Amino acid sequence: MTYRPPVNILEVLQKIEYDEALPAGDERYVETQEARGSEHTFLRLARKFGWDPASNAFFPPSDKHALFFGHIGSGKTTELRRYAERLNASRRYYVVEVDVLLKLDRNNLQYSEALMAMAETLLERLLGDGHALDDADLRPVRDWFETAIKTRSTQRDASAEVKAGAKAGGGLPGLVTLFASFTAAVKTGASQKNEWRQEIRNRFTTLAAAFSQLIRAAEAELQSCGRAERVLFLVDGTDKMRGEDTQQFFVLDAEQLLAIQTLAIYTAPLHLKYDGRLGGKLDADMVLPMIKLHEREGSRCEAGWTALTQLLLLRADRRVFASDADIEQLVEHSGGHPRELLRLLRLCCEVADGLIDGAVVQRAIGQLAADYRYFLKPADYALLAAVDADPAQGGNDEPAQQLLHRLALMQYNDGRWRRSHPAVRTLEGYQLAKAALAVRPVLPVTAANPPVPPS
Amino acid sequence: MATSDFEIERLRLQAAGSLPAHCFDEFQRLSRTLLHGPAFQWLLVDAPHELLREQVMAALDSVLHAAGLQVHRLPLGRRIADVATLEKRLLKNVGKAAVVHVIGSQGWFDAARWDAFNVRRERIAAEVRARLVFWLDAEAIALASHGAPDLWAWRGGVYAFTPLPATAYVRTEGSSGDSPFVRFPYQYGPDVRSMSERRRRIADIRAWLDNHASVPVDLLVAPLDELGRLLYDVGDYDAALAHWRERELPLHRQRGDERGMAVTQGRIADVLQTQGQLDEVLRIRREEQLPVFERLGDSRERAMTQGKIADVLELRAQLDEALRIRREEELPVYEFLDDVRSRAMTQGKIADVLELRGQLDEALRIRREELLPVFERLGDVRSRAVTQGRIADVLQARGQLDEALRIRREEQLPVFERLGDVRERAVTQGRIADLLEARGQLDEALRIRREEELPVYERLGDVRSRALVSSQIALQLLCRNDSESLAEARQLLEAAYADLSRVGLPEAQLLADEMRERGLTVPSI
Repeated sequence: MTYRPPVNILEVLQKIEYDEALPAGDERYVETQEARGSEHTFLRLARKFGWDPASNAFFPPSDKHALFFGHIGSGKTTELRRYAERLNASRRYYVVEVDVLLKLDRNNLQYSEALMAMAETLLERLLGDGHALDDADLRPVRDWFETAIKTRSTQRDASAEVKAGAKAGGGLPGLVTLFASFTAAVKTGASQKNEWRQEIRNRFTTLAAAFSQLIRAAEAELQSCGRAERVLFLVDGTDKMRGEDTQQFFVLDAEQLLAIQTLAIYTAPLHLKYDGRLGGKLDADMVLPMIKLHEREGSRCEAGWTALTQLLLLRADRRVFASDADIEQLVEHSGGHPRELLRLLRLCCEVADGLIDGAVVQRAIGQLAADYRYFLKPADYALLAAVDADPAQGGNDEPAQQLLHRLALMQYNDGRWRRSHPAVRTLEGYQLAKAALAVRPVLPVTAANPPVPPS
Repeated sequence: MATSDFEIERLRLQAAGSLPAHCFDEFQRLSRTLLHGPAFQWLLVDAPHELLREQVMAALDSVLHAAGLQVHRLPLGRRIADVATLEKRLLKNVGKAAVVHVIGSQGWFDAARWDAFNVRRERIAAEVRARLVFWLDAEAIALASHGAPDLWAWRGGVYAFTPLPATAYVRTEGSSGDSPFVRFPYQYGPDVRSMSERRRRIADIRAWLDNHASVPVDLLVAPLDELGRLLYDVGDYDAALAHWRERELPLHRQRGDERGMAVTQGRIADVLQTQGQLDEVLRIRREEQLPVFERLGDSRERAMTQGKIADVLELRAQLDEALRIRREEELPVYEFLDDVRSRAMTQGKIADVLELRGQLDEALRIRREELLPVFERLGDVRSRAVTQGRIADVLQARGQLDEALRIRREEQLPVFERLGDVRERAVTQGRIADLLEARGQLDEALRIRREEELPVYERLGDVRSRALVSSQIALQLLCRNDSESLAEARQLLEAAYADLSRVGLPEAQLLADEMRERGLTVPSI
């Protein structure tokens, strides 16, 4: 049946869920490449992994661990699912999507559990798709577990579930059960998690080699049946880890990730790209750009308006809105951010009596702006006003990163320029900061030249 | 009994209206998202003032309960000392409550606890499919936005219920000067404000009055007048009656405003009429109103009062006298004044009488050719819907049931729902039930009478309508031929007869005849 957007505002309200990434084939999906100015994003990503979609030339690196950055709620997962679909369809890659949030406990997540989840998902996929691997290929991983269980058995009985998994039988199904029992064990208790973590750390080289060997075997199987040439992991949810875990995972334990010889993409929070601590270990080039409504010099970017209007009208029927001007207002005040647009739509549904008209839209914008008032400080307004006066500047210090992280500041064209959130610009604090700036020349924001104007 | 969407909406607005005026809009937003938003939501409420918070929660819970949503409260404190315990308590409630109020004491949520909540949020969202409402203060909310930006991005919404400074008051949008009220804003046309707009306006006026207790009395006339009419329009008859008797009449007396007193008396009579106190209504019309308007030479008000007297006579089946008043006392005045609306309304009343006399063609002609075009031109959606309803009455009498049903459902109900006119909506539902009964859909007809119609009349204290609907339900139950239905029917008929007799309505005799015909004993009153 053809999809029809809801025509009743209460139905629209009921169906807005921010955290919902659209699965491949979802009829609410809107193509945003042109709107984001990201026509080359997929091309660049594919080439990083050795495939040129235009010529179908293929020469993959032996291993590549790339990060994929983006604003919270900007559509990273939705876009990556489309990329995965294309990469899969190329028959060059066997894309294994791993949602770490689904598999693991976000609380205190480290590389050890993530790697185990990757292995488990790969084995599940292979089994599900009817592939088989020789016992000899599975043996190194199984051996690693057996040794670990023996070691652990000399200590507390912390490995009961894993031991049970080890008895589940041979072949691919047995190994899947073994990995599943491991993820279940580390999910249930902090003490077990720590003990296993210690075990993995102590014997990581062996595990990394065994895992890499398993991947090679899988690739050989996939090649032999013409399905794909390389396994490519798409690890999602790693952009939502807690602050210190993010540092641990991407900075301190980056070597461990790199020890696995495979192709992998990890989602990562945008602020990580700019805080300077990545140290060049992981490939940190790829950013999913925001949808642009304006070019840097202020001219309209029609593709952005079209895409976001389309996105809005797939969530609420056109009849819900009193006029095109109301739709345009909502799009404008989203700043090109899909989740912010949905948030505005939700606010409209909360306040509208019937149609979403100009008055409703203005209330929704005011309400969204009020949310930002909870955390913005006078210095933040001053910085935002300064960035707007010169979008190319804005520095990269802690305050700027914080504003980026909280969406008060948005960046476009892979970070080449930034602008404040349009709803924030309606706040009195911003207006005052802008007025103050008008009587001061715009200077680069530095420690010697703080963004807060003299009172 | 399941509460209808309309009834929930009415309750929601009533609950919003019971709160301080400045909370009206936020309550509307919060209650709507809880009722209609997704099954899982994480909502932040900035409500630092304990008394106000309790007031808002109580109002909210009354609406949620009516909608069939179970509510649970989790106060954070000694028993819930950390986020892990909070998670356990939330999980323990899975499936039991659709809405969970998590009430945070000041300072409970610090950066570490937000962090701990953040790392659990996906799991909580997956396992606790409920609307989680976190009652906090601004400081805790700011900490959430600062300490856990991805958690902040995950919020369903932020709602603020903060006490107003003593000097503040809610000003009606677009108004200026000392009084935000204009006299009779809808005096010259129909009031097409939605139920929600009216409730909001009631809250605005009350807030203004609370903050302007000592202004000159002349400044109070317009807001008090509008408030009384609004209370009546939203069906809060008790409040309207109290308002007119205790606030507005004394005000007019204080100002020596004879006309104002007569008009207010007329409004009191309007309410009493819905309650079946017809003798008192006639007394007010004839003794408190007519002499005043005659003395003042106000021919329009005099004609209108005559029309109201004719309404009562019609209710008492004195049709000839009612028709005479309409044709000889009312119509000529409106024609002289070139008042097309009042003229059309009076013609509608004349058509009513003709219909009662069986002159259906003439009644239909008047409604289609004389009334509908006038209301269309005036943009008076209510009167247009009422007229459509009367056309449907005639079609129904002629056996054109499908068209009559379509008019009821598509032309009338949506208009009354939008206007928040609980009485007209109930009347229309009753007519739909009549049609369904005629088509043999007896169960649905019975359901409508019991669930959509009767509760409204009970709430409004409309004795006549309640008695008539009860007797309709009873007559339908009598057809079922089982002892339980028979007992219920007898009970309903006896109560209806007692009510109708008590207020001296002619339907009492008709009902007694019906009962005797069916072999039932008529109680002696």
